[in-house]
Amino acid sequence: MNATKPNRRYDSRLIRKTRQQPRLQRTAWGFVTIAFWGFYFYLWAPLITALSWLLGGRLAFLQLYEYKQKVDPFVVIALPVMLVCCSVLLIAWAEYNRMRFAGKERRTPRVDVSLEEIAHNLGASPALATQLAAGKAVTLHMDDHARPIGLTEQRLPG
Amino acid sequence: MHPFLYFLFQFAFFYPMVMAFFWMSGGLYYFFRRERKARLRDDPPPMQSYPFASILIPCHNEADNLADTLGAALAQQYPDFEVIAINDGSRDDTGARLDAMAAQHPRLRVVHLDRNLGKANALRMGALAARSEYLICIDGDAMLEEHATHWMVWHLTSGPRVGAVTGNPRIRNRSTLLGRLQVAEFSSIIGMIKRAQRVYGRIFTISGVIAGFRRTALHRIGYWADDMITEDIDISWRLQLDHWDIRYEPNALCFILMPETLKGLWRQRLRWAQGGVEVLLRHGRSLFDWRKRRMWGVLLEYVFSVLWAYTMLAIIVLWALGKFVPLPQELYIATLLPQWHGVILALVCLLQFASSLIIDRRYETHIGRNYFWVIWYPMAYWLISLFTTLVALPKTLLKRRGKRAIWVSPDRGIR
Repeated sequence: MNATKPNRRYDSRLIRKTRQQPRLQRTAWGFVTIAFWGFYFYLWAPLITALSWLLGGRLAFLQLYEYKQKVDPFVVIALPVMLVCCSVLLIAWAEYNRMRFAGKERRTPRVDVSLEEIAHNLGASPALATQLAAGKAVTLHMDDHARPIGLTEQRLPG
Repeated sequence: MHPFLYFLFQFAFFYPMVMAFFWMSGGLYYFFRRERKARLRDDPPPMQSYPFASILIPCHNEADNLADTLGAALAQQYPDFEVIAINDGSRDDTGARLDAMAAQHPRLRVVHLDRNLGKANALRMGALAARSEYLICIDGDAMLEEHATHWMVWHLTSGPRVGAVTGNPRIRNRSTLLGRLQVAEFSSIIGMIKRAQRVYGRIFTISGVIAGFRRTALHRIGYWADDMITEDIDISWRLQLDHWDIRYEPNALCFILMPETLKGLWRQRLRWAQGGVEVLLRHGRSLFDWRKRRMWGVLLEYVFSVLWAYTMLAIIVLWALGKFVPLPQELYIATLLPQWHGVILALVCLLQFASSLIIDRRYETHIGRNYFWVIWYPMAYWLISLFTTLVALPKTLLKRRGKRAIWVSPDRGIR
């Protein structure tokens, strides 16, 4: 029994035709991305040197003090605190609202709007609106203010 | 360092961090609280009755996409619905193809407009032609997943004040780096923001590419505005200001095409940024009302993002000035290289994307492959946000008020 589990996720409609892009462009973008990863790792250099200093290396001193790339202690402390504050604030707000409003409908329902009212709002006559709602294929004639002024039934092929 | 400059640097660094923390915690909370154990995409909740639904698809020069878009819309697993294609003055053979398809499919109806009057107007005419109170609106190049209509109508019928529901757009075209980058962006930013904003209770915008509406709600606010560059941001604000609830349904998937050239991406994002500024200018003042206080959080988030863009501009200008003009030592910026702060920013960005993988693997296989490409995320997202906001603000302020927004066919990548 080795039946495959049905895949409920979705991929089949995706378009992946990487080779339709010119080879030069494709390669160039690849190099640019690698360069960015390189830059990203370069930014980590002070930490890596700090670690090597912990292991007895001297480079960390140069990186962290001579090059003045000091770690800002405020950032190190403030960021985790901010992360916790943001999360607590948002989740507490969500749970408060859930407790207060879940399953309760405080507002009165509105009556569905009629076709005549819609026609009036959109600048069409009630007769035109009825004709349009009944049509299978129609051409709608519009005036300069985008109001429908007339309608022609479209003859369908076949 | 001058105290003002110090403040600018602190804001430039802490604003994206704080937002990332809110998005991550909100996104993960939403996922673990509401999404993880919920029904699967292909098993939507049963309903007491299945009201008739109308799927509206405005089309402008969409001949190449009609088979995919309409094929997916007509294949919806929902008992009773119609599909209305609104051909908005197309210059290609969209009209003829729509007529041919309408002759074959009983559920398909076609409304040809005799001229191009923009997407908002096409949607307005679609709402007039619809036979249902529940409207599912998608773009002419988007493919609805077959259970999407069910999920969306279920939300719209689940509460009398649910005015709209927005779905989960998934990028189809992933052939180039820009395509893959946007896959990561849609997961780690757009999807996370939507979830976090739902946790807060109000959202900045529905996704115009897949949204469901209650027609009565639209009627009360005057339907889609045809002079706004992005009709979706505007309608989201007006619905919420009229106290309608907007839901987010991650199971309502919709496959979309995104730009795969820098020019196409720039144009699209500039349009989005202009849409944000337009809404801020149009509705900002009316929000100083206690009854509209729930929108303040969303408004503040947006105002801060504009301020952040201009803060970055000030820092860049000061740095560049320092290269040519002697500046006092306390105003001199030696380098824009982020150093330690850059490490932390990049780390948080990668953490954010890792959190989004936890969520998105529910919907897609092999989503982790995109991780390699997201090292671009800080550059691409924040820089594009920065420059589009900088350009969008003056562009929107100088735009002629009341000018009708008409269709501009976007770049849709490699197909």
